[in-house]
This record gives sequence, C-alpha cells and structure tokens, in this order.
Amino acid sequence: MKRRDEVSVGILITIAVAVLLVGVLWLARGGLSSGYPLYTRFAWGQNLKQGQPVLLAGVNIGYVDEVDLRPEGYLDVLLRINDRYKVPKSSKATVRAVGFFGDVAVALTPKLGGDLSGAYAPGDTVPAGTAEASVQEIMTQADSIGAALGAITHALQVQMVDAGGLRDLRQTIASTSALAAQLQNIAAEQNAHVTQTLKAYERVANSIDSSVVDSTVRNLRASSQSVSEAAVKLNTSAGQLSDILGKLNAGQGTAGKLLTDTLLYRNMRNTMATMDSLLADIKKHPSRYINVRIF
Amino acid sequence: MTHFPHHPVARPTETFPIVQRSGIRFFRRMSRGLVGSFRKVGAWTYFLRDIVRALGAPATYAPETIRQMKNIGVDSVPLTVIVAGFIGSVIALQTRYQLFPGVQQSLVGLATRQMVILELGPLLTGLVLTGRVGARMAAEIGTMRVTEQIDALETLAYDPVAFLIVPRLLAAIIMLPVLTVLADAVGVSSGYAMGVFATGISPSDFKDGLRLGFGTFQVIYSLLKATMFGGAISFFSSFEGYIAEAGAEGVGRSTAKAVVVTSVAILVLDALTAVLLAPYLQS
Repeated sequence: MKRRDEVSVGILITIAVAVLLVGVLWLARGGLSSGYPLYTRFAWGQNLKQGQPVLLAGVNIGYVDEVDLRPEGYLDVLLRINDRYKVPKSSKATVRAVGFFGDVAVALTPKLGGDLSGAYAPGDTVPAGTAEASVQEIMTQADSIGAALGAITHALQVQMVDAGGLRDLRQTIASTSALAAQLQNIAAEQNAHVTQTLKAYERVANSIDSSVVDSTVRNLRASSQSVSEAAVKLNTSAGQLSDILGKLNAGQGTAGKLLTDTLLYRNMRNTMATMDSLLADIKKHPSRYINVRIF
Repeated sequence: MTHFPHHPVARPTETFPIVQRSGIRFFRRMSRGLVGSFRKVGAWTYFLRDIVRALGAPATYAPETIRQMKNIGVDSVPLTVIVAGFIGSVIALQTRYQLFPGVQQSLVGLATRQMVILELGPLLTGLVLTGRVGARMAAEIGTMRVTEQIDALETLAYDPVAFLIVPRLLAAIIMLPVLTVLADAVGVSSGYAMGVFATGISPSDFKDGLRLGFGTFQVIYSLLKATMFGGAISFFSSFEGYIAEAGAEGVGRSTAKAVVVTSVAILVLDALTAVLLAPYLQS
C-alpha cells in the first residue's frame, strides 16, 4: 500500500514538473527549439513587450524575446526567429500596429526587388525602417482634426446662425434662383429670336439666285466704269472752267471786262440810273412815251 | 475590603432600561467577539509553534506524509481536472463572444492564459480542495480528538502534531502547486480546444495570444499562491479538527467551520497576493 502510494505520488509530481517545464518553455520561447537570435533597435515608445510576434512579409516567424530599455532613448530588442526561416539581408524592421488596442508586432520587410539570396546570420542586427503611424498617432491626428472641426463648427455657429448668416445665405440663394430663372427666360427668348433670325437668313439665302447676283455684279462693274469715265470728263470740264475763270480774272473778253473794268461799271450804273429815272418818268407820264391809237 | 461609597454597584443587566440594556448587550457581544478573535489568533500562533517544533522530528511525520500526498494530491486529480477543464473552456467561450468586430482574436488566448494561470487555476483548485480535503482533514482529526485517539498518542509519547498535522501540512503545501500546474495546463488546453474547435478561432491566433506578454513570473505567482492555499487548507482544517469539541455534533461543527475559515483565508490570501505581487506581473 505504501509503495503504491509512493509510485502514484511520484508519477503525479513527475507529470506536473514535466508539464510545468514544457508549458513554460512553450509559452516563453515558442517550444523546446529556441530559434536563433536577431537584434534590432527602435526609439522609445513602441509599446513592445516579450511574446509579441515577429512577422516576415506578414508571416509569423518568431517572437520578441526581450526588450531592453536604454537610457539613450532607444530600445534594444532581441528577436527569436524560428530556425526554419531566414531573414533576407535587405529586410528592415518596423513596429506595426495590430488591432485596435495598441498591440504591435515587429515586421521584417524585405526590400522589393532587392537581393533575397543573402540572409541575416544569428546575432545580426536588423536595421530599423521607417515606422508606420501608430494607432496613438492616428488617434492624436484624429483628435486634432476633431478639434479643428469643432472650431469650424463653432465659427459656423457664430457666423451662420447667431449672426444671421444662414438667413442671408438663404436669401442670396433665393435671389440667385430668381435671377437664374430670369436669365433662363431671357435665354429662351433669345434662343427663339436667334432661331427665327437664322430661319429668315436661311430663307433669304435660299431665295438668292446666283445668276441674278452675277448680273448685278456685272452691272455694278459697268456702272463703276461709267462713273470713271464721267469723272474723267468732269475733270476735263473742271480744267476748262478753270481756264475760263482765269481769263475772266484777267479781264479778257467781254465777260472779263464786265468783271474788271470799273469805267464800264460806272457807265453801267449811270445807264441803270438813267433807265430808272426813265422808267419812273414813263410810269409817271406814260402818255408821253406811249401813244396807242386804235384807228 | 475597602469600601468605596461612590463605586457603582454591580447590577443585573435586566434591570436597566431597554435602550441601555440593548447597548450593554451589544458592546458585551462585541467585546466577546474581539476577545474571541484575539484568542483564536493566539491559538493559531501556538498551533503554528507546535508545528514548527514538530518539524524537528521527521521520523515521525515522513512516513505519513507520502500517504497524505496521495490522499490530497493523487486522489484529487480527477476533480481538479474536471473543474479546470470546464473553467478554461468557459473563459475562452465567454471571451470569444464578448469581442466586438475588429478586435484581434488572439485576445481570447491571452485572456484564457491570464485568467487561468494567474487567478482561477490556483484559486478554484484551492477552494475545491477545501471542500474535499479540508473537510476530510477536519473530520478525521476531529474524530480522533473526540475519540481520544490523540490523547492516546500523547500517552504513548507520540507528538500528535508531528504525527497528524505536519504530514498533512507538508502534503498540502507540496501537492497544491502540483495540482495547480495540472489545473493551469488543463484549463489552457480546454480553452484552446473550445476556442479553436467551437468558436472558430485560428490556432495561430490563439497561440499568439497565449504567448503574448508571457513571463515566467506569472507561473511562479500561480505556484506561490497554490503553496499558500495548500498551507492554509491544511493549517486551518487541522486546527479546527484538533480543537473539536466532544461528540458527533462537535466534529460536524468543526468540519463546517474548517471549510468556512479556510475558504475565507484563501480569498484573503488571494487578495493579499494580488495587492503585493500583481505590479510585478507586468512584463
């Protein structure tokens, strides 16, 4: 009985110790195989902790084994990579957010088109790449956007509601609508007029006979030629008239003398005076000069 | 005897008005309770002193310890496994259905591991064993007390504490962590099975959650609690049985009292452990 108790107790304790060791190793190191170490370095504030996954091109290949806080402002991170996987030399390490609650993973991203043949050896340090925006940064950005939206909303409240801007805007919109309606009517009318004009023009254009146009053009040419000839003749007449006027001014001929001879002028005036007095006398005494006898 | 003319004369309580009488009885009961508590603490201290003294006689308690380890540990495995299995699977199931869309499913593994290892594994193992082992312990020792077997041991120059109490105490202190390791393993495994096969969580997600932020101290914390719970179960249950009053009624009262006191002690120790050590659990 006692021997059986000892055996059963021994079996139970052995099983418990084995479960404890295997369980702790599996939870802490991912299994009995420890994998090979790689190092990387990040700035403070990455929310890294032991056990977080290490992803190579999105595939889980290991876990974060240790995070050492350095006073110089960075974290020394020990990555434990499964022996089955090799990390290409062109890879960069970044901290990537996973999910909503700030959980992160270390992402090893090979350079696209880079050399994939070489791989990091155990103990190598993977350079850190440019980190993605964290959830916290995104939330901070969202907060600032929210604050800006709040300020804008407040300003809109003040300007559009409190100061009556919304009422003015409504009036402006109503006026604009009315103006647009008027412009639409005018445009419709103008459109009708233009249509009519175009139709009339089309009718006129259709009614024009090309032969008539040709004859009209020919008549115009003949008229133009006649006018040219008349102009030549007129020019000749003007020259002759100029000669006549020159002679008149020179006192040549009868007409010239009439224009220029002062003696003739005086004689003519005297004659006219005499004629006047004669006519006056005739009017006064017609019988002296006119004796009409009939029979 | 000197007579003091203004000294109040002892007067029966029933002669006071009702309000004063109630007050007197209330404070009398309070003082009795307080004195009783101090007396209990003193008795525990003496009992602990006897246990420490008895540790110097391993030849007396060593043979019995193995038998008690079998009674406390091996015989409790089925009950512990059943309780831990159901608890782990229920935790995984509840956590899975509390997640709203967008939350990573690895949280189920993380929650299952943390709840089972840090809290429910040791606590429920301790409470379950309080009912199964502690009650049995109190009843056994109480029966030995009322049947004067303990007196007989003293007559035969056997130290009853070394022969009856120390083996149970050592066995509980050793076997509770063992059972807790099994409970943790079974709880996490049943949570994995429930999460993966019943709720459709991918095995890799669950494993990622299990490993997330894990530190060896979490297991040490769990085993430390289990050790304290084992000590509490055996100490308080043995004590209540050791001071059992005569008769079957006295044994029954001691057994019930042992279960209550041990359960309360386990919860108090659990809270104290959390207050003192939880800050060190952050990885």
